Amino acid sequence: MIERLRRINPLTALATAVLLVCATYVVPAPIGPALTLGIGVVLSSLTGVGRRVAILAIAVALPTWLFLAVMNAVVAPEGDTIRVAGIAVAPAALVPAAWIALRLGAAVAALGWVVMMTPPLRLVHALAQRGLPAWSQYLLAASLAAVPEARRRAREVLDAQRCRGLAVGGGPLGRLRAAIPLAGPLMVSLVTDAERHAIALDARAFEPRGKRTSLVPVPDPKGERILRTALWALTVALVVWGFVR
Amino acid sequence: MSAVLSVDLKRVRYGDRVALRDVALEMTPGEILGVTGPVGSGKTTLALACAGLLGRSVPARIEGVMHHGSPARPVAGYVFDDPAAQLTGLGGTVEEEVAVGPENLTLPREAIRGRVDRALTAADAAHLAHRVPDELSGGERQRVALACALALEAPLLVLDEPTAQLDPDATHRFGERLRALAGAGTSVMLVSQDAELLRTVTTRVLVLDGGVPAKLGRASDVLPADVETRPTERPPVPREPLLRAEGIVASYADRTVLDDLTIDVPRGSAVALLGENGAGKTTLARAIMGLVPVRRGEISVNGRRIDHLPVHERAHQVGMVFQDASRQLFSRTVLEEVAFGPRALGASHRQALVRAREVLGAVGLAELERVHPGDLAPQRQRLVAIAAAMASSPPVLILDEPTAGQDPEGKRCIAAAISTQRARGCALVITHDLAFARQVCDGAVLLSNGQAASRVLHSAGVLHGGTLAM
Repeated sequence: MIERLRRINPLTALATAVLLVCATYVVPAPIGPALTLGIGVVLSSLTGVGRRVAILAIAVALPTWLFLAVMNAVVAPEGDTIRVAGIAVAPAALVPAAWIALRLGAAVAALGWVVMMTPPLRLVHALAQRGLPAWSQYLLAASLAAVPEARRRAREVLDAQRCRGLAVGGGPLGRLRAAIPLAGPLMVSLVTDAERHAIALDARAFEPRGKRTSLVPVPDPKGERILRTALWALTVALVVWGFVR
Repeated sequence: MSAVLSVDLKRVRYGDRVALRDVALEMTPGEILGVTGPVGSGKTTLALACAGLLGRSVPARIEGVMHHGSPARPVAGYVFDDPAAQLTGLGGTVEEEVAVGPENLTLPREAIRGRVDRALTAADAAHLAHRVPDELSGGERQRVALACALALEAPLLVLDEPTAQLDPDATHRFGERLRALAGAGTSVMLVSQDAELLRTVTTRVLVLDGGVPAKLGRASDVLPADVETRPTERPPVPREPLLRAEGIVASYADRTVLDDLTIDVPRGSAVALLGENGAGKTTLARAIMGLVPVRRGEISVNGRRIDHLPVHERAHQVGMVFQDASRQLFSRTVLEEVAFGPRALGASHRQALVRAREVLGAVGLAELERVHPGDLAPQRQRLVAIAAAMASSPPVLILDEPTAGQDPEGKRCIAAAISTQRARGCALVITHDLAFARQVCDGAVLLSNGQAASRVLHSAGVLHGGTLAM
């Protein structure tokens, strides 16, 4: 079962994630986001990316909650306030901030599960099998690869700078200091890389408006196709319910 | 016999700069046309034009006529001078990357499989099929780049420095395969600085100079005679090692690349590090610099261990020029690039600029100090990277494939830089260019499967005819 979940067609995973994101925002808090967060975490754990997804969700949700909590409860408090260390705090404002952060965390967990579990090119191949035009396949592949590509290029520039004696200290301050001389060259090299990719594609008979076939078959059994239809139908139903309730 | 390609180019411009003019030639089926000339003479521009890429994804203005004899799509398979540029990012493994071209041609899966297998075999890269492209060595990547072009099965193959990073055996096999391809009717345009390869495989050679054709004819008529290069007479090198790497074990994930490797580079010497593609040469260089973690072993410079030091502290002792030098350059001008090292190691802005100008002059780049490094040809970028590494005056200098694609002038500059370095400390030169190693280095270490298979010091004269004599 777990192995089958790991080999799930990327389009099915995507449909699941979209449904979870919709449910997060449509079903009232805290039940909706808590439930979808739970499902996202379970799916991530079963497919071996639980830790990374959890870190990502916390990294997004916690600062969001802290920011909103400070803004709503301390900077511009509304309603009843209590005094903590001489500062007026509105405790009731902490709860809505928590629900917003929870929703964001749940949505990030659902989408993070798809991105981290699915090799980008498997998703592209799955879309190619569904007849997606070549330009959008490349756009998607490039978008999914953008973060790892930027990290790789940043590492290369940083290595080059360290090899010439630039000290990169530990801690947030050290990393911030290292980021300043890194930013310009990184942007330039990413633009250069994009140009090189365009030439490489042209040299390989890439036609943006054409279609592509695929060497790698991505299995799409009938059961999954039915499940996917059901997931999309449920998503539409949820959105409609969200508007009419 | 109808021409595969007819070219009558009056001018090719990049903006206001004329890169190529008055080139007229025809290629017949099965012909191998060599193209050579100094860096900046228009070779790559001609290659891009003949492959049908110029004026499309490469912005340029073309005045003249270019006619491809076959209506086939694409008109040509193209191999870039930088093999990393060949990768589209649409393939997670080598065979998927090679499949990108046939996939774009909307071939059925079985046909794609056939083309991928044939291309990988022809490019001597079948064993790399399931590797991740980003994890390949430079030479391995070059084979994959060739396979990518071959998989298009176009009537014309345009190859820009396709052997610059191949080991001598692989270059020899490449030549044989090129002849086989031509025998089967494929026309090949081979841009190369490798005079020996041009002599052995081409039908005709076009020599470009300053953007215009200087000579066109048989290789024996247009290329200078093969002068046997003799090692420069130098005083004996002392035995005292300046750089010592002892019992080095290093690996990537579960693949051990260096296995109990020991190597010495004496003070006042330049030692060539040889070995086939994937033998671990670059990994050793990166391990010495601290960019690859060493699982076991000791690295010392001048008797002091450096393996516990962070990279930026090792920079006081070791300078390194990467195989792909373009990825090592990050400043807005050549001068800033070269001055970065001295600045980072504590020199004042003025001192750093003085030092940078001094080194740029030594490698013949003084006129380029205000140019953006990204605007230079890859061979010139490598010279900038060498200058940048030398500017900090490290006692140990590591150069990874410095002569790849270099013209004779570039090689002379690199030889001069190595000579300067020898006086300051020592140099470790990773190369497949045996003639250069023989001429410039005092000895050589041959690496095989991550171990030093043989070692010859104080006797550069033993590097003969493509093999390392023991």
